[in-house]
Amino acid sequence: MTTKEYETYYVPAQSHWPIVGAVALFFIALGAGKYVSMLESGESSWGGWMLLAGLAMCIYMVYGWFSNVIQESMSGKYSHQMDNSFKQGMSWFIFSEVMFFAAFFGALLYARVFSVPWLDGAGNNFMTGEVLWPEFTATWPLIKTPDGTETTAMGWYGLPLLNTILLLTSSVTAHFAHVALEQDKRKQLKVWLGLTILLGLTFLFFQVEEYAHGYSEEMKLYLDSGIYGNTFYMLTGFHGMHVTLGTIMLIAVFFRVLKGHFTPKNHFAFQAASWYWHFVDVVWVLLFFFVYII
Amino acid sequence: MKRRNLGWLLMGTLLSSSAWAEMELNLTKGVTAISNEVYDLHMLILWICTIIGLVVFGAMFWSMAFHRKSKGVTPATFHESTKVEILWTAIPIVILIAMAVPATSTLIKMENNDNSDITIQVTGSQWKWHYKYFDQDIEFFSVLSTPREQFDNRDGSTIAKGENYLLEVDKPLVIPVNKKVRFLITSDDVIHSWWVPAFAVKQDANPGFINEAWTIVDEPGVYRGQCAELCGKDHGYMPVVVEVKSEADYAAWIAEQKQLIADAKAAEAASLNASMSMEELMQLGETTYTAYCAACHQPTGMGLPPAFPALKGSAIATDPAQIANHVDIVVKGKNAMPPFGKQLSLKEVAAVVTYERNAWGNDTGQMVQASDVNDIANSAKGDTSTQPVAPAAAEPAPAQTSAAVEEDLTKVYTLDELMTKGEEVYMKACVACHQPTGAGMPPAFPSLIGSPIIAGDVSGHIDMVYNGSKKNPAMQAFSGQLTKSEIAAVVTYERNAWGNNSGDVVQPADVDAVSAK
Amino acid sequence: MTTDVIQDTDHQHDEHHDHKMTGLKRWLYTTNHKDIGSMYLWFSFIMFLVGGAMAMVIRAELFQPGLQIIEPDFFNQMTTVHGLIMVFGAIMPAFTGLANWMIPMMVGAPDMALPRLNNWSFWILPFAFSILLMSFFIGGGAPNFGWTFYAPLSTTYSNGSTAFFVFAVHIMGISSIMGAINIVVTIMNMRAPGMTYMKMPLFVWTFFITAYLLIAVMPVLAGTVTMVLTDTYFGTSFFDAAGGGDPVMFQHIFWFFGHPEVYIMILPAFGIVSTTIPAFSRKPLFGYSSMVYATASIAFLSFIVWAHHMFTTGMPLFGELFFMYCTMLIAVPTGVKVFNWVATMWRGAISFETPMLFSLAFVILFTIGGFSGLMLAMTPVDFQYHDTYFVVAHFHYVLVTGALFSIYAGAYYWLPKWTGYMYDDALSKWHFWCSLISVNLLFFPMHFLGLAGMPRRIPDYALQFADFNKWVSIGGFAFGLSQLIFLAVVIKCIKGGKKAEAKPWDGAEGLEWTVPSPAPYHTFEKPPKID
Repeated sequence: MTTKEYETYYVPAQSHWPIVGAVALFFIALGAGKYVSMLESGESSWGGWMLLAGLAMCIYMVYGWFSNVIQESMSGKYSHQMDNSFKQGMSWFIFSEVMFFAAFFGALLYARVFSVPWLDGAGNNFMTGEVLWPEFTATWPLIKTPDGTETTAMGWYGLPLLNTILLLTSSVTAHFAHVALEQDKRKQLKVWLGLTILLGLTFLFFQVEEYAHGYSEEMKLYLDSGIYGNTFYMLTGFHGMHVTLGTIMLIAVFFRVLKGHFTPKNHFAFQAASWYWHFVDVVWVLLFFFVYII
Repeated sequence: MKRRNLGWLLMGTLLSSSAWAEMELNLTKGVTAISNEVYDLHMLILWICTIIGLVVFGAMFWSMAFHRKSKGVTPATFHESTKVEILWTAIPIVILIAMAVPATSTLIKMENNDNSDITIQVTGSQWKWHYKYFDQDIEFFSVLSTPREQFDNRDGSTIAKGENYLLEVDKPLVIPVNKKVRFLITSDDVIHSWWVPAFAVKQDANPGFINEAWTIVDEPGVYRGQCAELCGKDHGYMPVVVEVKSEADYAAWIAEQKQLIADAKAAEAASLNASMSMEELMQLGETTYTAYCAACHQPTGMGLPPAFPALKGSAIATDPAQIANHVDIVVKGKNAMPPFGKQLSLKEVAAVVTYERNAWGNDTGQMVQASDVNDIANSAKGDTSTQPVAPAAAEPAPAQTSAAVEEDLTKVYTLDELMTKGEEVYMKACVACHQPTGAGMPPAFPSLIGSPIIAGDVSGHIDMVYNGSKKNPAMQAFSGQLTKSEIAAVVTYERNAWGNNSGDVVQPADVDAVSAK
Repeated sequence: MTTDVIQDTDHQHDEHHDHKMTGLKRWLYTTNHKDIGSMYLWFSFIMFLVGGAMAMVIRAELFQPGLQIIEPDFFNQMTTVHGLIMVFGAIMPAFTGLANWMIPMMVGAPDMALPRLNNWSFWILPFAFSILLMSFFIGGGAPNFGWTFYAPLSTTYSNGSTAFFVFAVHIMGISSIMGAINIVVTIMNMRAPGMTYMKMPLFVWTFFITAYLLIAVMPVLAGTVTMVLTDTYFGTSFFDAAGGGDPVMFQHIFWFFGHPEVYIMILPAFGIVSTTIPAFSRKPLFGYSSMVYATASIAFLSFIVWAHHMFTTGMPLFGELFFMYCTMLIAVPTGVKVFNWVATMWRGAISFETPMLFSLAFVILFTIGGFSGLMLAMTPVDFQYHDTYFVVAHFHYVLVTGALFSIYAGAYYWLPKWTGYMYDDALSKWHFWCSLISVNLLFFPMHFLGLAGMPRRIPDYALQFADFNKWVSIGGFAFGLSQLIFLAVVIKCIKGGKKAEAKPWDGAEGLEWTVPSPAPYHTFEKPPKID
């Protein structure tokens, strides 16, 4: 920062949203913990209800908190420096999301490069294949696991390819929306943004279709179909959740656009949503390459 | 600060003094070439660290002593020097390289598993080790043999702990001296780690994978280690004991083991044809249950949910349609439950399943025989890693009674012969309850060490083994399972082992006499 | 709590017309970095006592061979939760607390960059740890698979606690990530004009780098626990060979988080002693820029050394060599740091106030921990040390006499600034000497125990380990009790004492000493000028 003029940095008054958010996360975590640990026994418990209560509270908190922030922003309390804080905060948040996906990509690559070949006796694991899994043959996608579970691999053409095109296009439309906003062309902004949301929703629809196809008797590709099914569903599933979140962000931004929010210079929320959208797009490209193609 | 200085010097003195090294303050040198190299490396780094430490801390203490504000010094103002920084970056790098070179060469040797003379598969499971000799058809479990009373002191009991407390097993791994022995280390459940400090071998036992390690031991002896990876509740109670024998002793041991296995197979085959009564099944079932199942499923059958489900009133143990499934789970395990197919005989599995289906008010009245278990275990093939008892099945089963008829009751054995034979029988028939140490698991399974039965009249003892206890249903009659010579041997063994040393010698004829009453 | 004495002396700032609420609401709703810093510090101390109580149970059981007090499964729960609480509940929040209190003051900012987020980060923690502690009472007992929760002990073979553990870790991870983002943004965006990166106090630098590490690896931890969750409850087989996975893969992913995590707990300690040692040596920190580069190198190296925790897992030889060499390299920048501290003291004018005593003890004892770390880095010898008490000794030297002692040094150093009063000097010296003697009695003999072959995480041991364990336990109880002295010192200091000047230490440097003691509720609302 240069020594320009002095701007006050807005330090908000006390806020009750953080503690609401903390209680919400408490309910979510405790409820989910209880719910998941009762799954096997099939007994009903308070877990599911507590989880739902937590989620509701969380939505309430996000809505209330963001409303506050939007009001503050609209009333001109924020400075350029504040805008920077938000932008940097958002970028590092996205970076942390990247690292979350890295864990699962790491698992995928480890399984492909190391554990599956090792189980077939590669490297220093000759005896592993010989003694423990004599009938196992390493393949990728792993359509027959060492313990004999069989499944089918999901091809890259068809729905996945279509989805790739959809998501890549949506990234472009999101960019056009941003350009339109910066040039203060509100009508174009609405069109491009609306189009992005539609593309996102279509992507999600096809993703569900693909899952239904995977879970069909024909493919028998389940979450528990060995490491291939595990990584396939966990990676695409978490990606799908992020697309859902990104779409919700875009929809929220869309409504704010309709209300006339954002200026060519001041539109952090728009930018955050659009960065997030580009991020899920990049993750998808990696996913398409590592999960579907190779 | 002076105290620290003193402590540092003290440590230096302690480690350098060979007298102290005897008291296990330092790493063991071990008994292999590799372990000696490892020890030398350890000492090398230790000394390097000590010297660097003395220099650095020396400079610090010098400053503290002479550059004190209370001495009225004026502080210098220097605060950087690229030369110095480069120097103390470069010197450590040189030292590190000097350390890395020998470490690399030792590591490469340690990882060279080629050209081994003997290969042994070491399988960890909660909480015991299983050893399988390749090409020898010898395999056995190795379980902690320290009696429970010695370590469970929560009731305030203070039974003296033995010399090898927690580092003793019922059957140690036996390997020959001066041979390259390769270990294929794996696990049936969670990760364990097989560690013998004297060999400098520590290798994780990963379920589903085999890790290799090897050793060439220079001196015969007994070497002890422990599981070195947290593996659940009884992680502290799964020692590793390796007995290194001379080549001749090793060969004799192998021969002995093969004989033992042949005997066990014969007994197993016999049990296939024998049909047991409900009463017999329940008796044997209860003893087996107490020894193998009660730790998790509890003596009451209530289990410790959720990890260890209740058997009382459960579908598995009561639904007639689930008998096969019940047997299958006992033999092959499920989730956290280990497979017992390798540890229990067909008869024991039959008995324990029957027991579970009829105890604690389950009262289904259903009986399972050894032959049923054999059928079920062999019908559901597929998993090659757990092979229950199959080998015995095909062999023609010599009938138990005919064996008894052929028995030469007039033969007179020496004490040594009886002791050897008796130990074998004891380890087969009695050990589950009375424990390898003879200390039993009171109150259900009384100690045999100096007990009234043992110290008392010989015929009472024989009667107890032959006809079972009249008061304690857990002590079954062994007349149907053991020959008279075997009973003679085991009675002799019990009267002379674990410090009982009565000198009593019981011959088959004595048993015959008691049985005739 | 501390803040009763922190008077809002800045009434003229009517921008905060909402001025400070009182009572519980103030703490629940606060956005003030000092309030939040105090809450973090108190929370971490409470957690430290809870985790410490568990350590006392462990040491009581290990006082003599045999099982006298608790059963093995409960022992495992104790070691597991002790580790989790000390790592995630005591050391990390204590550092975050120090960061909250000091970083805005040190860089001349009015507050943290995202104040509400800051409060959320804090308040998640008590809830996360209550879930962890509640698992003792619901389900089948608390986590019993070690703080490293190796699969499949934590998955297929766990008691019923895995789900609670996983979700508790998830939300504490959210807290850590948000806290770290706040620190990064504050440092990048909130520095007063003229406060260039290379003018920042080293304390700020170390937290800056630590926060990056947190953002990079906490999500990986979240991924790891998620896989543990699905392996346990949803039939996946990431860590199960039968489905094509590998239990060792768990360890790779976990330690990819875990090793940077180790530096997350020690880099801020470097920052603290790099502040105190120059202050009490009355001489500027030697080699400031090399310290910054060394910190950055350690952070970088921490990403490529993770598998040195796994030498016995049967990695290929190439992997073992690679990780051995990289690990040994860490000794270089760490050595540079130690040498720089000694050079800072060299020809200074040293005085021995309590913060300095803790810092000196830190340098020596942390270095001993570093030496044992170097020994552990050597793969062939690690086969002997791995999973023995030698490792326990190593990481307790690094984390207790390292991280914890540095936190004490920092706490004593800044207590006058926080409370406005000087702490009771005599009592604080009692705290130091009692801690120093007992901590060495506690941890030094563990080296011998490990070398003699005592594995870690066992509730009962062979007879040859009995004598040392007795001394270790005595040291443990003494160390535990000594920490109560600190509590007394802090409470006494909050209540009153000798008034502290704005700059109570004559050698201290930094913006925090330019504001009065206690620091006003709002500081640097107008940025200070840095020349």
